[in-house]
Amino acid sequence: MNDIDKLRKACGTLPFNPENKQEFTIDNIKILSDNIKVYLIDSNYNPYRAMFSAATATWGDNKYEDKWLTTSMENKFEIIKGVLTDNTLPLAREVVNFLFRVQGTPRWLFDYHVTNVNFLTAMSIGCRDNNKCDTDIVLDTHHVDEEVFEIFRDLRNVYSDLVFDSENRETWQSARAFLPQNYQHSYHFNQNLLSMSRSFDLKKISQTIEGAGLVLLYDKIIECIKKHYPLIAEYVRLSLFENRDFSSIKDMTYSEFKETNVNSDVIPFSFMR
Amino acid sequence: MTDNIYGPCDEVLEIKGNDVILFEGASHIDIDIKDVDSSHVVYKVISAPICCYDQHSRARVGARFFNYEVNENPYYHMYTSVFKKLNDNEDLNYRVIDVLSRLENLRNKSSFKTEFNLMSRDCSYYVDQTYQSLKGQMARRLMFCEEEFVAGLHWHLRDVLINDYKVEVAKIWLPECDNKKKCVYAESDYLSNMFGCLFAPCGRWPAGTKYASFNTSCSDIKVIEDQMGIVIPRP
Repeated sequence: MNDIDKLRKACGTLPFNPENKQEFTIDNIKILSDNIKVYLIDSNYNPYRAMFSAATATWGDNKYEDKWLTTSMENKFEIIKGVLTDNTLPLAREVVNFLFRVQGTPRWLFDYHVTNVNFLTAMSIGCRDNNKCDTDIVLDTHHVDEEVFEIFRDLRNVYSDLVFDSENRETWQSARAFLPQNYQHSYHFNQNLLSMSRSFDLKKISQTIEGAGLVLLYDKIIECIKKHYPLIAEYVRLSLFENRDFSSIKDMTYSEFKETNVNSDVIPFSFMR
Repeated sequence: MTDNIYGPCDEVLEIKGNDVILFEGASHIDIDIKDVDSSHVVYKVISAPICCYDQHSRARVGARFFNYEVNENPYYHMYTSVFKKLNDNEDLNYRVIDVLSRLENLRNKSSFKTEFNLMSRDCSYYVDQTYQSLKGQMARRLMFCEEEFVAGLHWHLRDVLINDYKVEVAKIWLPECDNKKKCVYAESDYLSNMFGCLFAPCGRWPAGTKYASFNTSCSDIKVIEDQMGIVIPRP
């Protein structure tokens, strides 16, 4: 292994390239609804403080002090409620950012996500940069019979024969001619809260299978945010699935908020201090 | 099983079997200019593989992609090296036509056809783009470290705009390496050794790296010239 390859191996940027073909089995066929997994990789150090600071940033005297330090917890909560009921400038939602790792999506859903949702940054695993001889097939249907299995097995075998040809191996790029749009294509993406709350119009997109796939994905994204920031997850859910009716947030009391956040994984209630 | 289509010199232009047709490289990509003025162009990309659309449609600033349609016929664009291999290897050719025919039957029965489209399946789409946006895109996509469909499409578009529509500004749209008068393949802000360099440098300019996963250039200037029927300027 040369020096660059050693460095790439250490940094995780060495392409996946096994020495031998991988056998395609029935376990390589996955069902979309069971297969998508979303993980929160990174977000603001304290998104509540980010929202508060952005929402109150346009007021103050010449000293321009940090208002977070001098505002009571109850009043911080009122400001944050204002942000999460669309009662402040939208910039206060734009400053909250999330980076997710999405695993188990088919290629078509990745393409649909990144071409139909505005203002997100996506970074996907390359089918030119890696040998895809291990890739799963992710089907939208639960109906997987012998015919389906054999077709995807045979496509995989053509791909493998091209890239493992001992006399004249093809590149992963040229062999991808035989990759279907349902091969597993995982990715990271970054999206701010404002953009996330406007990811799709439920009435319009749920009519199509691609749209239904996106709805399924955002269901998982909301679940994932909920583990860390339940109030923010609720805002996204109401925005996307409840026609932006924020009355449940509007009516929430400070003590109810305190209770929901005590149980969250990452942001303990102390982050409000 | 196969019923190939031959050219005037007996070269195989298309591999055909059952209803499946395989095209060689970028040879079938065409451009239809729909509207052109002094600042923007609307063009239709006719007969390109889905992987080309995926790559092309990453352009965001000053470009709008619309009316993307996948061909209902089982037409596929094979990378040139794969096409030649299929042409030379009867067994592989048979297997490919066979599996693509079976895939087509499955696709025809399905209410959700997208998941049965291969990356190489034929599609078409429209692009509405400003010259400012196109200038930046050309600098990147005319380079031969781009795949042959993408490089071929952009050289063809440039050629059509210059020769058929007399768009003078298109003459200065050149690969970034020509503009900088050096190979940019392994530059740290583009494809550094640590993050890219899948293919060997194309040789248009002396290269800054010998490192590559594959010892071949991504695209070949002569192949693109032959397939698109154009002459590509040398630096």
